[in-house]
Amino acid sequence: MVMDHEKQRARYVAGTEGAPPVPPPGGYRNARRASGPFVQQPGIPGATATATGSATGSASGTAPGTADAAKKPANALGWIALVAGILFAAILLITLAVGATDVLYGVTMLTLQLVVVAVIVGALFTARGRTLAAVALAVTLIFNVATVGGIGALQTSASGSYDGMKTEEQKHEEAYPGIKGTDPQAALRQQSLEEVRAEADSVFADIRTRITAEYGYEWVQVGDEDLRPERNGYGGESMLIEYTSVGWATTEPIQDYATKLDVMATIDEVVAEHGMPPLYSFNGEYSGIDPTMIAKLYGSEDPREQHTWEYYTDNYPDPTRVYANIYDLSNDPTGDFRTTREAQSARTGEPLEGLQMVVLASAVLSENDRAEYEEKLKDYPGFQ
Amino acid sequence: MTETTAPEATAPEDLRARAASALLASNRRRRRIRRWIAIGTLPLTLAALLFVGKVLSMYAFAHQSITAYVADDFAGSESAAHGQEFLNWFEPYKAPFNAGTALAGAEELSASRAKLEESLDLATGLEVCSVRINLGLVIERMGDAARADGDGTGAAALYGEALTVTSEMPPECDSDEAQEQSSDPDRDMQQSKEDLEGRLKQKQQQTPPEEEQPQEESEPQPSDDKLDELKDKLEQGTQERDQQQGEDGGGSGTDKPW
Repeated sequence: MVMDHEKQRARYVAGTEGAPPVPPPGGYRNARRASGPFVQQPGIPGATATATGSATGSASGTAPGTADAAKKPANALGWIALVAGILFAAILLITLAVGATDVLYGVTMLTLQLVVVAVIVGALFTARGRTLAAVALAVTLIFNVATVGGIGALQTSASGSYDGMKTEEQKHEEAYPGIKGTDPQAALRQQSLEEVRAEADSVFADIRTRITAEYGYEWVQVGDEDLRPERNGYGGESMLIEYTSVGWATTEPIQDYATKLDVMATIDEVVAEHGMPPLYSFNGEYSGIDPTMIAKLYGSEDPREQHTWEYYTDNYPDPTRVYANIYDLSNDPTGDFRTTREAQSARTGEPLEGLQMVVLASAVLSENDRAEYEEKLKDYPGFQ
Repeated sequence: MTETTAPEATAPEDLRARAASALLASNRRRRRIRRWIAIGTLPLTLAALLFVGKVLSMYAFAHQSITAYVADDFAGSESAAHGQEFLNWFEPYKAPFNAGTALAGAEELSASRAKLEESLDLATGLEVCSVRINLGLVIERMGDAARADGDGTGAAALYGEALTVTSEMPPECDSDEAQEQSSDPDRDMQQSKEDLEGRLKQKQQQTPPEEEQPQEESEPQPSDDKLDELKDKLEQGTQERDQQQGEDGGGSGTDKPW
């Protein structure tokens, strides 16, 4: 039945006055390779007219539709879509190039993107704008807020420059030379970096002399001095410094329990001579640390079986903090601590075990920076 | 069959009709095939679109979360982090990590801790390093808050928990590879960990013990006088530090996560 109906329709069309010539047997050459419904029209004018209902022009005796459609220029909407797509892609790439990732993800860009997409979609629904709209769509699919924004986000992540959204006030705060929540004058009142360094050298020299004199241990310097800027609490770096002195280590292990106590007692005496309070023991029973944690950190709850003794004192309110640690690999049944120490030794060149000393000081100001610090503070009245 | 038996009379018409019919049928078949291909690949197309959208949105939300945090817009940062939670298949620890860090910035420490603990459960390999540091910092700040409220026991417990979190960082965190993945590229991760541990140990010492413990003669501990002196100094020092640093001190006080 279907065939009969098609035959009748084909006959009717073929016999109509004014209709274009019928196709040769088998249809026009390459008719089946045509890419769109309009291009197919001339192959079977009557059939297409029936199928699409839009081939009235072809049926009116004018030239075949294929040539017509191919020659017709694209409409304005198509051109607008293409230009808008390319222009917007260019804007995105320029924004990316200047590193303004926040602008890429901003409301303006998103709105523009939606407008561009709307124009392209609109053009896709017009016959003469479809080709250009398709090109614009391809451009937009590659260069859009999401893809270019993603590249920008990666770029920003790599550079770490996440300050585009800060207000001027926040940028001003970011340059605060002190530390949020602390009295900025405290840095001027307390020991300077140079004084801390001198204090550390003096304490170390006295301890080394006493320990060598009383126990015969020799010393080796460990690591280099380290100066790190302290954060100011407003997203920037302060002018204050975290100071870590060079370390000193004995070249011989100290494994005897009584000797360890004696050595720490000697250090205690020396720091007392420098006006510091007695050493606290982090690894001891009265450290305030949970016994389980003591065992985890120091190898055992019992100081006799600990692989690390960690003692500490400071000269508060001045910033100098003195640490004296004894590492003892004879109290390392599992070998885990040795592995840790070997890794540390590989990095710093320090002995695997024995006594080690270091001084730390937080938020200290160098004498050289004092004038600048005071000058900058004038821009931050009432800041703490 | 009728047409084929009388080819001479009807041949041209029949041929044309047959050709037109064949082409119509062919076109119809092609359209049908195209339609079914479209329908058949629709799930794949949608999945591909969803995948691309998800990946691109990850960058967008993560970027927005970080920039909002940097600009002290903690609510915006948390909101953007929640955007990462939708279909959270890739690097799933990052969504709760960003949300937890934003909550920490907003001083919602309990909620922050919950999020960071969720992040820790989702983190694998070197991802745990940053999570543990931020979680340790948040618990430390919870301890500071408890101490400021006069809850010394609670503070000590929290400092202990923070110390546990940091002490369980795998040794691999002290590597260049871990540093490259750090959420705080301006600071050495191992150094941050050591600073945090040092602070926590000191703060635990500064938290006065509940009761004086009897001291055994053989233990290598300070004498009673020394202990009293130490305790007095610690209490005095704690009060002075609290007054001087407030609750949100940077530097040697409590570090700010991220």
